[in-house]
Amino acid sequence: MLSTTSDDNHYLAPTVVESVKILVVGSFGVGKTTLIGSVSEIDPLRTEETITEASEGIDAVDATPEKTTTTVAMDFGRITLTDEIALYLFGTPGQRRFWDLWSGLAEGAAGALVLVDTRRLEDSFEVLDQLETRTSLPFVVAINQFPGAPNYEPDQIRTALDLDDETPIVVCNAKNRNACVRALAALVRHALKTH
Amino acid sequence: MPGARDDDYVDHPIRSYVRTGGRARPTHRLTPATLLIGHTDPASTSVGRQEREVLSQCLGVISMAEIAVHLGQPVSVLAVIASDMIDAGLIGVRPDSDTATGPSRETLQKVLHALNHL
Repeated sequence: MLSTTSDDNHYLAPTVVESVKILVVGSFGVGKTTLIGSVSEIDPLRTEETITEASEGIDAVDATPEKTTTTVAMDFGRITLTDEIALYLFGTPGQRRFWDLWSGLAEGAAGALVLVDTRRLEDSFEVLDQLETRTSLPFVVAINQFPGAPNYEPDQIRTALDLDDETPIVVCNAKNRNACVRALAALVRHALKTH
Repeated sequence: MPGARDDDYVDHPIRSYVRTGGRARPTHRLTPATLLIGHTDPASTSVGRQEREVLSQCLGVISMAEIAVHLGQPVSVLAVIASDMIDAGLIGVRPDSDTATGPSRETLQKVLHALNHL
């Protein structure tokens, strides 16, 4: 249960006075935790909340029909960006019940990076819908290019996902640190435009 | 992956509502990205066991989410306990951590600059 995070980076530098958070959203298995692990200075950590509700038919992975208490996990990581600012990345599936559960998670976030798998574009509809209807967060769509996945042009993705012209689309290999950092930078640049 | 648990439900011998004295709402806005720091040496304070556990995780600047993981507690439970500890002066909040209004333009520019130079 206890983390094995090394003592070296257990704590942030004492000079850190500010934290900024970015949400990494997308359907199950799209690479959220991989992306967070690629850029985080700590091994991704998992925090859990329990919700009490009928979980049947909601979560394809771990739902058991008879159970009314469901554990919802959120993986996260952090990057110390300056002497004073730490960036936190929170990975969440972005379905309705997650917004309810993690109230305060979207509030105050710099923005959301929406990870998309081109083999399962339809899985992204609910996440995008929730982002647009439940938050006013700036977001960027990041295509996590899996080997053998269809290679669409950004315009095709834009049409398929019914995205505004202003919403940036970036291609991003979640395993590649530089690519993930570039995707995060694209999001912050977009957030600055809409700020 | 350290810190991650494969099983989908972990029961605790002490119910959450016992730990929080039956309360579900914290008195401060404490989110997973809120940064805390201890004001007190856990060894020199006469506090209860769960307060001492939190203090032992607050020897430096650290987020609510990380403390929650290290203590094996949900963030929502930690928030109630930590709120009382803030009121008691045992721990402090970095006031610019994860503000409800979001980062300022100046902060976003610093974040972008830093990301561009990682």
